[in-house]
Amino acid sequence: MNYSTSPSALGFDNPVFDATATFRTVLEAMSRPATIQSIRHVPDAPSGIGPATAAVLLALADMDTPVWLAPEVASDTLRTYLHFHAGCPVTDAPEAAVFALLGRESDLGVIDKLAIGSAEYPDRSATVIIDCESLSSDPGQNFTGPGIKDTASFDIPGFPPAIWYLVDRNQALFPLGLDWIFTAGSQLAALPRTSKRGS
Amino acid sequence: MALDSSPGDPSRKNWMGILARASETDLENFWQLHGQEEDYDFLRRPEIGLVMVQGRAGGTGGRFNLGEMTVTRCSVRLSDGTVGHAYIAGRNQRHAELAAAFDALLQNPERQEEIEDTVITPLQKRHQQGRDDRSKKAAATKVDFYTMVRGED
Repeated sequence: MNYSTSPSALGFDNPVFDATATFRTVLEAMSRPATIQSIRHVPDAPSGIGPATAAVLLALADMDTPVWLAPEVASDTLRTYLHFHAGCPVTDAPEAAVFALLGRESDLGVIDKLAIGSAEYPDRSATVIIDCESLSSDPGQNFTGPGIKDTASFDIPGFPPAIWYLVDRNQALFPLGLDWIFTAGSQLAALPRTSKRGS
Repeated sequence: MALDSSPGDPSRKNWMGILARASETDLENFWQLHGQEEDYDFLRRPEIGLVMVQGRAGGTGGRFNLGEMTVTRCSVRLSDGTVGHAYIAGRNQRHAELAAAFDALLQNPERQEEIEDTVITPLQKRHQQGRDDRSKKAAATKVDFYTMVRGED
């Protein structure tokens, strides 16, 4: 791969503390599934992805975590940005990815190709990051499971409902399966594989 | 030494090497004179790390790890979007910052010649002078062991 090594967008203002704070926010989102969290210190995001998506990738991706980018978001700008600021490999093979980044218009078919882990190592699975238009906590989809007291409501306005079918099917694979992070602007919400969608 | 470059070589590799070997004080003075009005953002703030230095026995043998050395790197972006990088030996963060800023300035065709003449060439001369002085001092202590030749009589 041959691309310029100088990104046009800046990374975190304070790489150590901002990445730690973002990690904490992702941890909070994963521990309290379907709640919307805000990332306080977002980096200057390259065009095509939101600030929260950029923050999550900069905080979590490194040289040991191949990232797969959906064709709609994969630009040279983004590759250069990740290469420079996160130092992570960008892979063309979804099955090799530790993180998969999808946009709001991406084909969800690729979800089936991502690693779901094995019975011995369920942790060797991918995390899906979906860059959405907006997130909503209005009654939409209801979730139950570890980290949710009664039920939690969460919805992604304007996103293809097919995603919920994929979330259900993924949940049935437990203890294997994918974990989901939905981002919009500087907000994010997560659905670990344990969260079950109610009626 | 392969690292040593000829005076007036306008390549980026050359000026980055000279900036990395200059002293922070010199760079600071030159920046006051030539870069004061430039504004820059940090693409990567100065950060200190280790790199493994490798050598070859006799310069031609197999590679071996000589040891780790401390390196500081920095990348800045000027207001016109030009990006400059610097990797310097040691832990001097301001040095890395200034070297990166000069690297960015030197990529601007309008300023390149001016900076080459007023900053890079003097720094190169100063560096060469230091090397020569040290070589002379070392050469003066040379001892010829001709009396040690064995197998005579």
